[in-house]
Amino acid sequence: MPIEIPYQRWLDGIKRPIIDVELKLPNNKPHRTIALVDSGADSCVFDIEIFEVLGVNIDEYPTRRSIAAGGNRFNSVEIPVTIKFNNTEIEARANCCSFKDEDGNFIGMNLLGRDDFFKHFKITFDEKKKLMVFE
Amino acid sequence: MAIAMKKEEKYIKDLKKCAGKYVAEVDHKIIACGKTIKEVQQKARKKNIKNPLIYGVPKATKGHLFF
Repeated sequence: MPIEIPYQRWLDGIKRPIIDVELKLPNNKPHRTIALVDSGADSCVFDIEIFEVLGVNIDEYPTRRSIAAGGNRFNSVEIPVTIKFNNTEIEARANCCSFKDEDGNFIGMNLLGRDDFFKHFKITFDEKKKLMVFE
Repeated sequence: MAIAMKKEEKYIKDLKKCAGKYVAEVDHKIIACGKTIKEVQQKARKKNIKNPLIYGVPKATKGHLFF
């Protein structure tokens, strides 16, 4: 049964393909947040602060060099996590990094990328109607 | 329709006030705002709200990191 999810209006007034997800780690309370469904992202990228709050010891996980849109390079930590979306639980490898600038302002956005998230669904982006269809 | 529009406008206005910070949201309403997720969780807990939607609101100063 396909699920239609309308884009959400964001700060700049532009509607974007943003969905509510729940991040789950073993022996932890789930954390509800939002993420951009990003067909341009290879993998899922999440704010590292979420995992710190969930009690993850970041030092235990491998660090990798990642490249953001625009070519900026950043260090990320790969943490296995369960992403729950609409009763579907997805085992994913989250690339986690700080989403804050040097003044401590939040500047990023959680991303759901192709490697882990997209392969569980057939996702159609309907830009005319500003909605996503998940099958 | 007008009520829904007003609610949406208020929601966007509240989000803009919290740019650069984290917010907690329940039923499309911002109920707490803070510099860290912990701070926002504590504020939500004080209002007896369990497991709200918590996310960061990007401050568009030097461009977004990822989109």
